[in-house]
Amino acid sequence: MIVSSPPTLHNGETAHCLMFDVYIAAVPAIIAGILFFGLHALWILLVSIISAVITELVIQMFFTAKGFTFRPLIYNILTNDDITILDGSALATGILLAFTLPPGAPLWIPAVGSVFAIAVGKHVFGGLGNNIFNPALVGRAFLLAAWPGIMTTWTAPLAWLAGGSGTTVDAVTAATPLTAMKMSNQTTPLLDMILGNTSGCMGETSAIALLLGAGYLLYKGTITWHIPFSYIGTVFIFALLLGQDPVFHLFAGGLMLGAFYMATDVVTSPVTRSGRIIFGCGAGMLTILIRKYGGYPEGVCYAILIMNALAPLIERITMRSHQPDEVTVPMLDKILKD
Amino acid sequence: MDAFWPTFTRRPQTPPAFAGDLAMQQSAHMPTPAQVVIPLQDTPEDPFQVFVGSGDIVQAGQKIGIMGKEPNHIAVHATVSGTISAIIPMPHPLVYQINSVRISAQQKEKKIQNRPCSTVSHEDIFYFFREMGIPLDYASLPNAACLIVNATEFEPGISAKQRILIEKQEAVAGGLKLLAEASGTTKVVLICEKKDEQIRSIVWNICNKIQTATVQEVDSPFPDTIQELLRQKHARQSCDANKEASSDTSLMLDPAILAAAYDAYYHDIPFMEQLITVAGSGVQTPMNVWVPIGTLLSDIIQYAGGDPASARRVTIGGTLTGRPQYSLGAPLIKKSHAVIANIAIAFDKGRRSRFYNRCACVRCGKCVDVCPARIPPNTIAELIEHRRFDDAAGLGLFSCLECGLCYYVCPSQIPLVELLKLGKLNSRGRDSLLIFNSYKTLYS
Repeated sequence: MIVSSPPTLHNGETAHCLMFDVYIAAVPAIIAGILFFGLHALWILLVSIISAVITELVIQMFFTAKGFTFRPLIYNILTNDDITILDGSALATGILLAFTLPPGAPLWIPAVGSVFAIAVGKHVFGGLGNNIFNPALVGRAFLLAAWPGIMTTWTAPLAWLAGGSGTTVDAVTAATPLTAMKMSNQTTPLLDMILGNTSGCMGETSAIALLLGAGYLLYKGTITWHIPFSYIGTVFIFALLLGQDPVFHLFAGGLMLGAFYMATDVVTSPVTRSGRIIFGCGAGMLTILIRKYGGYPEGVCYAILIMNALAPLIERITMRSHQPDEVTVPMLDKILKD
Repeated sequence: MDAFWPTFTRRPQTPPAFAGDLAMQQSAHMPTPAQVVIPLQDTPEDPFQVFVGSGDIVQAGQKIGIMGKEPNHIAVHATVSGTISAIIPMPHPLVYQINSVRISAQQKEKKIQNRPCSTVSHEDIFYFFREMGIPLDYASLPNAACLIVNATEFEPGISAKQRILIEKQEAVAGGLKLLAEASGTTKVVLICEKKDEQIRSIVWNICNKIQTATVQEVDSPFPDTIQELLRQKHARQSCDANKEASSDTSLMLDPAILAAAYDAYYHDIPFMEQLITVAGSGVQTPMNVWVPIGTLLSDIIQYAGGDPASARRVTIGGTLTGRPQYSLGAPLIKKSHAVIANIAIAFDKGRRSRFYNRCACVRCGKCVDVCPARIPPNTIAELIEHRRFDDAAGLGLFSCLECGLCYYVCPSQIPLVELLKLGKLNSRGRDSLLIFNSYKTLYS
């Protein structure tokens, strides 16, 4: 007789469910990236994914997995409990990191970035569930600091249609909408920004593809509305307050990508609902401040990283604290108070 | 790859209440079983008294013993007519073994003939209910400021409460009226779900019969473990030396107990039968059935068309808050709602997909979103794993209802309810606040 403790009913959701939803939601953005920037974008994506998975596999094989023997290699990789490449989080990090790279980058950039993102952004902190910072953003921040020239060289959209292999050497360079705004105070047509006909990072240009994916994520329940709504709303309001065009700021740069895919990463965002709203507001504020007053044209990456650092503190102040002996029954409060 | 199908569907955040057609079936009456085992204690250290000896012939409804010590006692009645075959420690659903009376039934009757035993005076109503074997919280009932009746069914697949409300509507109303007048409360609240039309109309009918009653309609069902939580809340408050004894105690009642109280008061019938739902993959015909208290679980499963030898997991209660049983020789005790019997199909560790193994907590917050007690189970469980019980209590460990919804939605398959129960048990100095025992008959 099995006497395991109740409850014994479960809705069947596993950790893969969260990740698969992200993959499916990322498909429109991948298609948009390939359409506008050519096949080189696809190679960047594949290199990023493969190096992320291999990094996680290697770290777990050599360092973390208990009792791992190398003899029946594939079998051990698939059945050892500590090898967690199959739960798909490394793949998701690879996809999101590729989204933040310029589409003309040489292929060693996503490789090095993925290795750093998975190794330092995730496993140094203790693996899945224990990282403080969003691993994809850690990778991007590292690449931006180490190779700023390559990471800020953008290609014009649809340049691959006119010929050329699409790498940095022979592509037509163009400025992103935010760089144009910051350096030469030039605006970009709104329709171009929504459709993705601007230059920028691979996954962040096409707002409509990202919104499609975000709608799917919200429908499946993988993300909740709190963070994106408060993030975008705060950016809108602060752009108004600082005298900039709010709709431009909504669609320019990586805001859509950051608000729906990066900031909502479950490991690094607060757990309580009010905490998520505070998180989104803080990230929005920092984004606008960096965009207007900071040295970088794009502030989403650092804004989210800073708020990730503050997420445990936000959790602590939004969780209701009880006295050691206190028993509260919130379900009955509404009934009993009148 | 059975774990991949939920990836492509929208996973439900609350368990579906799929007892729809079972709630429409009329309940059956189980014929007299071959033997019943009637427990005389709640825990092995409780005092008890037996008035009969081995070999005596008893009638159904005859008082054979006392659980507890007078005046805090509950009478124990024989639930079938027959001969007493033994008074020895026998398996019990909640503890390993308890002194119990085993009666082998003599006649096989189609329906238990409830015999009135009118030897008790109706003057002191609480003493009367004790003598009739009604399990109520007598310690807090006289001072109760608010009586709450939970007419919602929290467990999926169980419909015993709905059947009681449909079949014994007047009894529930009468019992509630009795208890409300006896305890002198000024407030009676009935809770029902908004979407169940039939139960809503019944609850409104009951409410109209009692003057001080109101109905609260809720969107999601309330777990029955709130009874225990309320009791512990008032136990805590009364222990607190700084506050005076607060008079706003509230009590949650079960419709089955109310119906039994009505039958006891107006028809002089002690609490002998219970309406339960028998369900699960181990029974051929899931049903609602009136079962004599003390029937062995193997007899119940056999009556519902199952094979007791092949049942691997048997739970008293539902799948979310029930109690798993170690032996099918255990009797059905008072205040049970259901017996669920499962044959092992896919939940053994050797057979189920490895994707259902426990992973690290990804801090997704789905448990926090779904918790009805508004506590963060993921943080509390992590603190308990690090043995920081005081910090866990500071986040609300003792407000946990143990309803099981957090485990239901957890993508990492973390046994959150188990961890929280472990934390409650292991907190130092918290001897009076153990995990919930909803089946405890005696509250002294």
